[in-house]
Amino acid sequence: MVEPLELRVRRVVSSVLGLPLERVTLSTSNDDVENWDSLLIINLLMAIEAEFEVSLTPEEAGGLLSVELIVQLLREKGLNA
Amino acid sequence: MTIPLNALYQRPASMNRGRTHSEYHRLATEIESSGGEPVCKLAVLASFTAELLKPYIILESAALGCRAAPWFAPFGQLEQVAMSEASDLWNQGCDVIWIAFRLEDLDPQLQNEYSELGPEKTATRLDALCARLIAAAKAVRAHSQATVLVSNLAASSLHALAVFDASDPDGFGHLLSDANRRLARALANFPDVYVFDYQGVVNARGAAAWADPKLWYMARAPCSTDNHAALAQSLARAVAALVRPAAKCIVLDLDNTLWGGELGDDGVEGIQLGDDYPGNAFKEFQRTLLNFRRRGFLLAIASKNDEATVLEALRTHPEMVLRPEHFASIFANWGPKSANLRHIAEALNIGLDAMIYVDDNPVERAQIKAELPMVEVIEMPADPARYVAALEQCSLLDRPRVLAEDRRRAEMYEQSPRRLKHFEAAPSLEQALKQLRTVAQVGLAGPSTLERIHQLIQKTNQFNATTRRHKLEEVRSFSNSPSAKVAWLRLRDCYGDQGLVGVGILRQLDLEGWEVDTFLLSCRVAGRRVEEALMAYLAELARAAGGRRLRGVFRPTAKNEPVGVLYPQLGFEPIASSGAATERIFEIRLEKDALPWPDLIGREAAP
Repeated sequence: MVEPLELRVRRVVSSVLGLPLERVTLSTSNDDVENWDSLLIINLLMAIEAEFEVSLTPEEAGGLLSVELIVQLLREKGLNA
Repeated sequence: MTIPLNALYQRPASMNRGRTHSEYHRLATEIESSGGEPVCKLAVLASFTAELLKPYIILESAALGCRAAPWFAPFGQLEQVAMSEASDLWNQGCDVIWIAFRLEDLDPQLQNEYSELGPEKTATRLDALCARLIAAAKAVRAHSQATVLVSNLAASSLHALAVFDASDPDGFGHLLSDANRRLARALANFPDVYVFDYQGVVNARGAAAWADPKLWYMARAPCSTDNHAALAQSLARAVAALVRPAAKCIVLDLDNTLWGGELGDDGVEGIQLGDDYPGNAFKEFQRTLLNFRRRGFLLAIASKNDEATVLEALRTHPEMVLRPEHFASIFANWGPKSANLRHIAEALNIGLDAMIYVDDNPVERAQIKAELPMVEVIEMPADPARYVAALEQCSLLDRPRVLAEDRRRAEMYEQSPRRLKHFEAAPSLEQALKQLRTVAQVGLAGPSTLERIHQLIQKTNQFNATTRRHKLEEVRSFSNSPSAKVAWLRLRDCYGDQGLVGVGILRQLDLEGWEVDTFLLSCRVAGRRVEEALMAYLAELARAAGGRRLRGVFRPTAKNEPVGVLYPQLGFEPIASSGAATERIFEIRLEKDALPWPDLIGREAAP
């Protein structure tokens, strides 16, 4: 049983942010999380590339600003569910 | 949570690959919020985005049982952080400071310009950037008590060296190695400053796969995501070796550990040991162990076997590398291994926490882990070809520096059974000392003795009156101060030289009063009137400096109870304690005949 993409992304974001899973929702973004800064974006880039075995361009990495945007990006890259 | 936290992140080294970046983050957060105190604080001064290493450093150091809490200086500021009085670094109370500046950041164009510059000018530029690292290390040394690690130089990870670079004796790679050697030599002049082998980590992982150019250009990440773990593992090992004492003894099982097969069933001729598989793997493992012995680790045997057969195999098997004389203690019997480990600890007068246990049998390992959790149990792989790697991975076998005493230690234990028998056979301690012709040499600390003195201060637990773990730099400053004296004692007898085994530090209290700040003896010589000799020497030193009173302090710990009687026995009087309630303070007037040199111990002047 494969987890839905949204849940997997929430898991990765919650790990990197150091927040419990239940506090990270689809709408969580850099607007509500104080330490979602440039260092965090690089950490997200490294985590997402490793977790989903994708390669992101620097432009795509710059757009890692909310759970929803990440899910969208991964769908565009061909990940489903 | 039902699973203990450390079970989550401790795993055999062979499984290191495969943890993802987000798992490192999750587990590091878990460790940090578990409430335990970190073992040490690590400051990082880096020319790259070292913050990306944070969860890796936390997890890998915790997995070694030596959790580090990292603090990161502002990126890329070497002189500003290391050489400024106002630097925030001095407020961090760090145990270890890592200076991690890379070649490609210190002199970004050097590798590109090498062909044009030629070897001499390239070497000059390399020396110039090493000089910056050395100056920074020196400044940190002067400001802080922390141990300092300085990364050496690796070729830029964005360029490959030319294919025939190594054929040219002045090739860039060779110039780099020469510069690293000069860096090591210069840093060896400062106490508690060591090289972190960054070049070695890059090479072990493969220079070509080290960097992720995208991460470098975007974020100045030091290396690819995968390599963060390798870098943090090496760093954690280095830090652990700097902040905790190494093990003292490797305790070995025999069957399927030192040789293949079972001695009891297969007989001396039937065991697998030699030049064919799997005997060659066991033989190489024995050679590795012998080499650890040369570096100062004791070897011992705890085996479920018949002792006579074990000794026969060790003595007569033609392919055996380890012979009976290489073992400081042999327990081969049918009792439980945990009892034998206790016997070995007692026989060698070392703590169980100073032991490493090596056994191919997972059941025996589990038993030791359950019954003697302070013993470090190595997770041996099933394949004997991987034994060497498993042992070499153990961070408790790392020593920042191997001293002459370390090299001789195993030999000294070899003499001690005969010496012990002598003490047992003699009618009295006095008789034994006389027959052994024990001679002590005493003197004041100098450059050749400081490191050994510091080592004893760090690791002596039992015969240690105050257990004050002074850093090397502090000991050095005592030895240079007119209001302190750092004294040492060496011992030899007819069985051999036991090396530097005693340390005393005096500090002046007032015009006529001196305090014994530190008084310790290696436990294998304690209780043989040696303490009287060392105290007599301290009294002489105090008198010569105008002292009329000598004060002794006893600070009880879990391990130093035998020293509690030292001061009353030597004629000191207890006085009211003004400091911590647990401290006991004693004093003696330094009359002419107070604290005489014991007549059963000979005395030699320092060279």
